[in-house]
Amino acid sequence: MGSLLKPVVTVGVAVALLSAASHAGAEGDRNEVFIGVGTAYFHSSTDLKAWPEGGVGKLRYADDGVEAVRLFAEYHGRITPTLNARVVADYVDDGSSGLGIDEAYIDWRPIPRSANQQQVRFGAFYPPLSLENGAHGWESPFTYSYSAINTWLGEEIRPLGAEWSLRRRLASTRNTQEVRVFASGFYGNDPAATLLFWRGWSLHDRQTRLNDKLPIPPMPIFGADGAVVGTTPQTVQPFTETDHRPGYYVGGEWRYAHRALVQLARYDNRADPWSFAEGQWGWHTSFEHLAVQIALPGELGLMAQWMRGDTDWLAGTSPTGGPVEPWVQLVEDDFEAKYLMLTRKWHEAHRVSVRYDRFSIDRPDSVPVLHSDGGHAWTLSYRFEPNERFSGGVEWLEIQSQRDLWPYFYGVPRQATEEQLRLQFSLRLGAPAGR
Amino acid sequence: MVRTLMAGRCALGHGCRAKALLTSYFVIAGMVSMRTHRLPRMPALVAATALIAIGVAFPCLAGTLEIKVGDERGEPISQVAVYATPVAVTPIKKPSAAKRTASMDQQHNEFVPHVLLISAGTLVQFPNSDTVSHHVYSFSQAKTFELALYKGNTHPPLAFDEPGVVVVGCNIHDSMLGYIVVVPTEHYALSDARGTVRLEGVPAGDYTVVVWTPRARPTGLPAAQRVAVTDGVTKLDTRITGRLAPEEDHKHGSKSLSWDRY
Repeated sequence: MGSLLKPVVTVGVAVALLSAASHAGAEGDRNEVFIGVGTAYFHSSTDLKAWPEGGVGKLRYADDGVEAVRLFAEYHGRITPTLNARVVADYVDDGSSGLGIDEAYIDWRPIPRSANQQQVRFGAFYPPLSLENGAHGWESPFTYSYSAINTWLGEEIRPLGAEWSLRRRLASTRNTQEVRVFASGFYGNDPAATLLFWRGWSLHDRQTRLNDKLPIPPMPIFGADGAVVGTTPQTVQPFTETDHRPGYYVGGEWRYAHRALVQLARYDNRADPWSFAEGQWGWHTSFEHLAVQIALPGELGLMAQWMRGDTDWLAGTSPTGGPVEPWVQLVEDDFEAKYLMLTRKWHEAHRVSVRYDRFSIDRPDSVPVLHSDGGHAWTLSYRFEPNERFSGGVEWLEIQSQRDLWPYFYGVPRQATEEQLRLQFSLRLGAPAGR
Repeated sequence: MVRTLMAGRCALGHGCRAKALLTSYFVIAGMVSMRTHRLPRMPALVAATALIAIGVAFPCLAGTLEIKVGDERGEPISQVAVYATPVAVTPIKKPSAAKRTASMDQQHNEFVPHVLLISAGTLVQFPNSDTVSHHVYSFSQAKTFELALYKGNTHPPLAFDEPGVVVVGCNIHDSMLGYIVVVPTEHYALSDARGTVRLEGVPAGDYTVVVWTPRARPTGLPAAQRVAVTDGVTKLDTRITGRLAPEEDHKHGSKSLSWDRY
């Protein structure tokens, strides 16, 4: 970490992949490969260790230096004109480092025979909730660090199943408005909210890969008198299936041309909160989600997302070695996050975005929670994209948070201000933009 | 003689060719009678009589039909499809063997032009000028079709024989939307920036004028208007009522935000 070696290696691998991408692109319409590589210099001001290193901080990088942020490849393969395979794989060198797969699914879009357009996806994919992450590789064209909500979606939400959606242009509105409904049934995702609970909300751009084993803040070990006598490291694999109970998400969306969009959705992993499998606990996590996007006068874009949910986790024991018996309900938490972002583009190449996030984790009965979290964040970003290949930018991120039991568990202050300045350079290669 | 025939022809046909032929016939008959210094023979007389009758019944004059399209306040509206169908003549379904051709391109994930106005029977090409593939389709009754995933100009042109509005989309890029307006007449045009349509060489007679734009509510479009075209310029004012959908609503609007999500 922090050395120049890894960025150099990453760029080297990117160049090697470029030739493969160019070759694939030359094959015509059936295969397209898109590669993105991002390297950034970070200057941070924080007393907390970064969470991917097992710390309790909200930042992805706490040390100053140059980091190979991400190298990703997005592959589109046309099996038939209406059947498309999409795979996004990436390389990161923090957390559970190495190569991994972010998304892999088959997308079927039959040719509409009426105003109803249907789409079915099978595989591992993101639910269509984020307003920010519309670029290749589920990256954001607005800020480098995603909002708290979308950071968490990238960390712990990745349904493995099927999604059906129906879109209909409303002829009565002269085709300027459309509605869309979607529904998904999925497996996996049972430990979702483990990282959110232990570490709290975060703002960064690291997406969890399907097989990642992420470090989470260590488990406190309590002595006989109730005092914390030590900690033990722990990890989470957010996409594990622990109880063979499928989860679901459903949603509806209304859109008015490229002017306004409103979406409502509900997600529930329906995990058995005392299930345990493959070293992972099931956390019953559900949330409601509202997203609003409006094109304001003067080419100013406004977007906002709001999420409110809860998670339950029951620790259990298995004295006889048989099924785990519920022991104690350790977690019964509400979590909430929201953000408002304003963004504008000048001359197709300069983009300025400013975002304000608020987030919290607490108990419905106001009892102090083991891992309560509350705070807000400001993100200010400027990006320069002179062409489709290169982009650069600078981002200022400030997160202020308060965690009541932090001093007791980890000996760190109750309140924390984490600041980060980031200078990024990104390279995009392979097939041109557009899907 | 050939020159006489040409001169006697109506600019756009429409039954006037018969008159031209008869004129020629009359001229021939007259010349024959002059040369023989005798009264015209019966066929010539019949022809002359018939000519007078036809001339009275169908004065073959070509006029110009100028239509102004405005909104409630009279502000001009451009890119409105306007066409005039002769009342007396059966609308064309399949015109001459020499088919007309038109093109609806795909540029930057948009159909260009957004509204394509053609007469029934026209062949339409759908070239893809983008670097990404498109999958063009329509489920409209007037023409249901599908051009499977392609780049460039790989598909042969399609014939649009049935009059009506054909809504065109792309199965990959949801925001792409285009309209092909197929009309049963040869007299049509899109309004210009001043909201004006000038249809020249329209044979005199009664016409039904229809105005259509995807931006207007069906109830806001004026009813088909009947107009008599005579020699000279016939003017017609039409008004589209109600709020029009902004032009950019059918295209890519705000680029400040991301509208592609998955």
